[in-house]
Amino acid sequence: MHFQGSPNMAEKRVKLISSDNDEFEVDEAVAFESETLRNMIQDTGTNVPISIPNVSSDILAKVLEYCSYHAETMETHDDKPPITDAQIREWDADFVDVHPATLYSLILAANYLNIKNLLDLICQAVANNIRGKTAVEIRKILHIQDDFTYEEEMEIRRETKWAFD
Amino acid sequence: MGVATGLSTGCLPESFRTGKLCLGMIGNQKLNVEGYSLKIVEEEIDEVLSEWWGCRAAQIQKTGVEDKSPLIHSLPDDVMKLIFAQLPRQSLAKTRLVCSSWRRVAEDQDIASLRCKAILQMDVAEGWIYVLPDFPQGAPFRAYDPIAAKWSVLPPTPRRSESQQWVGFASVALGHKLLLIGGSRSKSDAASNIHSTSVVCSDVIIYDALTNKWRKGAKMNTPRSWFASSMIGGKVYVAGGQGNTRFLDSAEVYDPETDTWKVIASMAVQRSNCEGVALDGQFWVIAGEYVKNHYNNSQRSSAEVYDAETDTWRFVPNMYMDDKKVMEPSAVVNGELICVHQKRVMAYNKTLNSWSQLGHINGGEVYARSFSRFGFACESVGSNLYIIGGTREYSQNRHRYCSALNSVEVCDLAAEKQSLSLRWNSGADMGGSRGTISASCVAWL
Repeated sequence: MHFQGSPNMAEKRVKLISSDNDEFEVDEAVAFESETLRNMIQDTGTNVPISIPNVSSDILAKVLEYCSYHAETMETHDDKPPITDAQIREWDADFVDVHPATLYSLILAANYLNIKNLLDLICQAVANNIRGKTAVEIRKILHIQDDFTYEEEMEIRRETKWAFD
Repeated sequence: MGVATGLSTGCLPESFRTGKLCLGMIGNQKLNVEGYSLKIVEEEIDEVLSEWWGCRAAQIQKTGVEDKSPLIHSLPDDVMKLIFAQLPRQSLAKTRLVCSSWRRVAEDQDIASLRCKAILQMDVAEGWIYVLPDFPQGAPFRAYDPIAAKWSVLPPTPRRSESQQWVGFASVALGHKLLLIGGSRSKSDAASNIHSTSVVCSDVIIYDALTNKWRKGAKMNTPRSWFASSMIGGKVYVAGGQGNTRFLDSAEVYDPETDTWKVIASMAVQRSNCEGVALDGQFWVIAGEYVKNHYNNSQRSSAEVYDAETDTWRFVPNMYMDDKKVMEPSAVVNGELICVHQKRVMAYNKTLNSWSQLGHINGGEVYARSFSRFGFACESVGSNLYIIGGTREYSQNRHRYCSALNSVEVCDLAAEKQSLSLRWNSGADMGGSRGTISASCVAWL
């Protein structure tokens, strides 16, 4: 789990512990993609491993994969051409092309770790599944119980006629 | 990293961890759920999960029993708002119909502020054009979605009935809200209009596009009708108009945060039937009428510009093209004031205080002599100029004909700027609603 001999030795390293007690070590810049981790590191420093009790190893690995990539896109290398916005978008699209259950866990992790762009990205992926669907279709796909009273239902139907085109 | 090949139960929904239903279906894969040690390689994880989703769907079909713990349902409200904020407006409206908790979240005002800003470098807010057609009588406001080219109908406007005429009110958009301000109300006698009494009011009613509901706002300080209004910097400015006894030079500003009106400096002169626009973040009050003598009103061609920082008005003489008329339908497109003057589309140059012709409205060029269109809505979304409804008057064989229009015509001024004539495209027409548009504005959500 330790990335020995990192090319960037000047960087501080941060240790993270997942809910199932796996240890991860990343560059400080990678951890700083998360507002929550940034605040923790600024409070306690990098000597103490930070435990993340509500994110499991596989999800944390996925989140750190995102953070590493996006921290990297911020860096400029003389020998490599900069990563274009189109390339980032493509990478992001591949990243969220996962099973709904994973997406759901990623949302909660991104929300807890406060990684704004990741949260927006996954929410966009979920929104893309909802868009263009009727209320009935959404209920069916997401297994949501319609809990309106008859009166409410009638009121809503009157109000939003365009939804029943 | 070792982690990628081990599946933790943490990423699985509650029902998977505890559900006996799923265990049976994937039992032959030697899962040990109790010990939280699932040893499956990554490809298999997906297989197992899709099998799980599949088996749940099959189970529901068989028994009609639905899983009571849907994934998205248990997300915190703040996350749900982020999801809803990224939906197209049409879809956002539909989420209100899913269930009561979705409705609560979809109607939260936070959604509007989230949609104001770009998300992942993309603009999400959409401008819809709201119009109030005259025909059929008492018809409600309609909203046009320019992206989907779709019309929708708003709930009936409160305090508006067939027995009562309501004219000269202002309609102005404040973000995703639509404000109807002031105007003159008269109870019209069915037999004749001679005995009708009209009262100028200071009422404000507000439509919220998120909740799709009308409510009352705070009243203006001065009752006014046929006045100028515009939204600048999140506040609504009104000026001039006709009071109950006289023409007005006064002005005031509405702050939606506090729901209060504040009187500001008065204009140099009285103006009724004047037009208000926002140009470069300043409130312009253009043209209008004044009382010349006991028998006649006369028109102004000047404009006045309000400076909020110094609370003063700047006078712009000879601003409007034609002093024989009140200002014609206008819109600000990409910061430029556009006005449909008779059949011609004109653009205003602030520096030179002059107007230049961009082209004609649809049909205006061909039937220049025999055709005129009036009472239409002129609005802009992005660089597009929309002409909606109105009445067309044309003469044929020395007879004059009038027809109420329900058409929507659109012209991309950015694309057409260089060409000699403007090319117009058709949008979706209004169907049964048609004729003169008595109020219009563009609200963003």
